[in-house]
Amino acid sequence: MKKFVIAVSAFCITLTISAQDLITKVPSTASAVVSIKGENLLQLMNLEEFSDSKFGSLLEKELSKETDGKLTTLEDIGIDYNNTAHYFFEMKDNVFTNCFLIPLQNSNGIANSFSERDQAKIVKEASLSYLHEERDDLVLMWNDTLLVFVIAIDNSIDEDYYGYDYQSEIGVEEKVYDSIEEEEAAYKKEREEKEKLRLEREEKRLAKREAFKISTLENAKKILAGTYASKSILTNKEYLKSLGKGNEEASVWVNDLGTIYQQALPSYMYGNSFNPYSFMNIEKMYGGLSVMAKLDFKEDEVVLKTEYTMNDEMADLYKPMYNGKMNKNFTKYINEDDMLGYMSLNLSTEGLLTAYPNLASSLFDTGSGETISESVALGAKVLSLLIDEEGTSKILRGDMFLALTNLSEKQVTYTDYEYDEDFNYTEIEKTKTETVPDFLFMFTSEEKEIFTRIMRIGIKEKQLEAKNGLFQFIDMPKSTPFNMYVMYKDNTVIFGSSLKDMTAIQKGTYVSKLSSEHKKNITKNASSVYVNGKKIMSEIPEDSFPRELRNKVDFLTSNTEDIKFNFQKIKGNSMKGELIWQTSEDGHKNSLAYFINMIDAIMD
Amino acid sequence: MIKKAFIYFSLFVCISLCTSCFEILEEIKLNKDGSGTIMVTLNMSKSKSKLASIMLLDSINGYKIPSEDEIEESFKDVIYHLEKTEGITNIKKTKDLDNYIFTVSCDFKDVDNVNDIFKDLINKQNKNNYTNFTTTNLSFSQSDKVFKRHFKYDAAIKKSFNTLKSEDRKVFDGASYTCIYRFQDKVKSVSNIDAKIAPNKAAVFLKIDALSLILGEKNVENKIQLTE
Repeated sequence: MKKFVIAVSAFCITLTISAQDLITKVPSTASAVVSIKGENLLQLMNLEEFSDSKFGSLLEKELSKETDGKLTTLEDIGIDYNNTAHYFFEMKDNVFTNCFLIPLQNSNGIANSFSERDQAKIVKEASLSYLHEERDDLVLMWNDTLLVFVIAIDNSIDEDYYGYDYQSEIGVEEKVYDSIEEEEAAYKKEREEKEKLRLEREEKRLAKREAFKISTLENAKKILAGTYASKSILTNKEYLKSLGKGNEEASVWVNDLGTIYQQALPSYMYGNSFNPYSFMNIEKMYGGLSVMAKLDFKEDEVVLKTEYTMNDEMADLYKPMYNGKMNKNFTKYINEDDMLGYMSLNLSTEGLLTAYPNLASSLFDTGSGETISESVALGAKVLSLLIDEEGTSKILRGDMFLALTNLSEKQVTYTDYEYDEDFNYTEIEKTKTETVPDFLFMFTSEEKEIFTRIMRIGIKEKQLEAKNGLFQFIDMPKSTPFNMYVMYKDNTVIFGSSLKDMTAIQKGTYVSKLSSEHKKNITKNASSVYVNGKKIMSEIPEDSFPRELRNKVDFLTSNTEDIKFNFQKIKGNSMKGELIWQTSEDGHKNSLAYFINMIDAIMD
Repeated sequence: MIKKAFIYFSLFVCISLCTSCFEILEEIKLNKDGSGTIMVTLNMSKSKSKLASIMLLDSINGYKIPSEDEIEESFKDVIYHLEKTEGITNIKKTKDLDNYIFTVSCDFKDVDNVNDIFKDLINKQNKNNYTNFTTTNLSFSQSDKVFKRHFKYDAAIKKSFNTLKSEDRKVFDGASYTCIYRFQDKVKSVSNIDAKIAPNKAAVFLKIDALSLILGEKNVENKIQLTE
């Protein structure tokens, strides 16, 4: 059934993708694909609007400067902004290929963008033209509808050359010579042999390099024509699964990180003690792991969605770590009218302590017999036997919450000088106002007895002072601009810097206010971050901003909104994250226009 | 561990919020024979909230933060350097790490001895950074009764300042450099238009904000003519 659904989806997607869509030129073997959808971007802001912005004008000015006035507008470049541009990365037989596919309306702009010197280097073959930078294996190739930019690296060329052991090849033996002359002659002969071998290898390297240059050029032609024996990426079911509705402006898909990691490691490191493959089962950790990210500019927010899919074994190991239970008390001690931001973390200490030894054993169990592998696996087993996972989770359950609850003004003293008319001076104490943050940090613990004992020791050691049910830290670093208190209440250890808030929480008189959306985000996700952008901008003192931004504080305050980030618990084999950057609608027709307007304002 | 992490997070926010600036005070008492006393004070107490926070970190914005022990070591190096310099005696230092005020003072036989203190340092700076700072900072002519504070602005100061990140440049907002010179003879005139002569004619005062000094808009160069 699953295969059928995928086949039907693939068919529908292929139907909706026009022949012009360059995705058909991405090979099915690509390990990573990045796409930028011009059509979606132009719906948010057309080219004329972008060119009218200060940022757009600056780009056009630079373009004109770089091309000696031959190209003056973004339109002149000839890019088909209505189409989708792609980048892909492919690894095959030790060759890494990075390729950019840019759709074109015409090729005049590209040809005009080169200096006269480079224009002389352009090769024309029927309808295609190209520039081949032989030294760096760069190929820039285009026809009337497409520009292909290929950067290729063949790791085997340099590895063969630099990883070579001349000594063992020549077979030099330790020998005692009868005379200095005999020794010198032998040394000379050895040196000559080495040089001969080096030249031979250099010749081979150059030949291999030459062949690689040709194959890079051929590959660029193949990409431009889109004729693959293994067909396009649209036949890759993992890629198809990542596509979704296609409303986003940009997307990133990375497939099988395990293979990328393995291939990226130079082969001459195999067997080397620094090679993690010799003692770690990297494939187990990264094998089958894929990452997907989508950036979507909406009317009043920008959304970045990420999805991290792991293999079955890793998912089984990670799931218990994130299977925490959030303490609902945390939400009782927050007032969103004052709050500037928070971060919640919902882990399970028990799950973590159970999973880590298994994870370590699994990763280091390579079967290689390496001491490090055996030691880690043994250590993990011993740790697992020694630690009482359930008992430890009573001290620290794994759910915690940090909030920036307020910003308050505090008078601090400083030393200045007062001069009499003869410029004799005396030190005087002056005061000034500093903005000091108020924090609250909470974590769940069932062990009140341990807390009480620690407090007793703290008081005896003059590190703490008891204060109406609270404990104040009295060993804070000198001049620290805030105090810190700690208490235990309802299975929760609470640290805070505001005496007023901490006293109210202790007495049960704290007035909380938190929307159901925040409550849901805090309690249902593995981690949740919230930044109250507008409030922070309005409360930060003006002189805390860099000087260049001080006259823009009002603009920044009225245009800054909330930022939220939620990281869900593992479902199936996937961990999903969502970053939402809310943007002001006032004066901005959508979130993309908002960012361009912000850049314009800062450029002023 | 949790307390430490919590304090560090709080301090990190404080570093972003608290303001920073400093004042350097240079005071010279010159006797008729050219000997005298110099005292240099670095007062960072206006930034103490921020400094207290910074001091707990290993580095900030890519700059290493010295520990109290390292500050003490540097102080010892300064004193050792002064002790080695000919004509320098009666070296005193004060260090107030609660308010971040540091003072070094010493007596000198001749103003050239004071120049010698910084000579190697300035030569090294000029060689390494192709600058052209003068190694003669002070001079006194007993016959002409002229005391000079030399200073030659080098565009490298502005260039270095411009390479700093805007966050780092903030340190110089509100920072100042104050020079006070006291004499046994009366002051007749001063060349620096920002300098003031005390009504008793026995002292000259010059306070310049650090940014004007860095940008070359003002400087500390001064020719002080004493009465003969």
